[in-house]
Amino acid sequence: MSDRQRPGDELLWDKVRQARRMSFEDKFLAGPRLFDLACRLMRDGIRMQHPDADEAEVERLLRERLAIQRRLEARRS
Amino acid sequence: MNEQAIREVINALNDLAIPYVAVGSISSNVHGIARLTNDADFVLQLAPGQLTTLAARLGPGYRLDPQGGFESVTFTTKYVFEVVGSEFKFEIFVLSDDPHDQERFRRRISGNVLGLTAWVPTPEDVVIQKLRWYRIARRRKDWDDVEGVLLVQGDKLDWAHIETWCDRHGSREHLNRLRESIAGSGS
Repeated sequence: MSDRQRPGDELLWDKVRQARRMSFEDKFLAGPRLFDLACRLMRDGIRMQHPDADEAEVERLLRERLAIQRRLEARRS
Repeated sequence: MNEQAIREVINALNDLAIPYVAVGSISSNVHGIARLTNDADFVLQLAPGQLTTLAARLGPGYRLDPQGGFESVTFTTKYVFEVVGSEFKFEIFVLSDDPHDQERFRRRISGNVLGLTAWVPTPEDVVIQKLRWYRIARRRKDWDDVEGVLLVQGDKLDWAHIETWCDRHGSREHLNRLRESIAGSGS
């Protein structure tokens, strides 16, 4: 089977090559760093949608969105 | 913030001389293709009273969920430390008597993370454990994680070790299916 016989393979192989180049430290921290970034982006989105929300409300809405995401992930499993 | 929490937890474990191995998505990220994770799973070889000592060492920035208990997918006792002010958490599994849990711990390898020594399983043991979980719980992310490890590691894996344990766990069929699906697709 060639690379191109699987959907999205070019992207997948980019990820494989990138993973092979990464240091132990970067790979170890990649998951938590990505989660940190995702939370920051979600907070920015919440602030844009709710410009009057204070920080406590932003955090509450963030937790709500993460809970939805976890339910969706559980349903996909 | 999560990076700082990782450093604090590893530092605490090293200082308290608690043997550990980082498992779950952190270990598959190290050996495979990284994905986002909102928790860090660690297996600890705990002496009596050491969980309390660890909680005290971590301090008020961490909240130990008192509802620790038996976990049905991994068949071990689990405790959760929540990072205060963050949605990130640490899941602590107690090293069990399970033969592969013991073997994975014995074979663990180390690397440098933020100037500290951090321990993870070998790539072979990540494959074995995640396929075992997949057989039990059918979680898609376990399947994807194993595929990532197989693709990234290429021909460097000790297949005899993987096959022996997959036979013992009844997950050989899944291993074979994954190997077939990626056979010949490599670069």
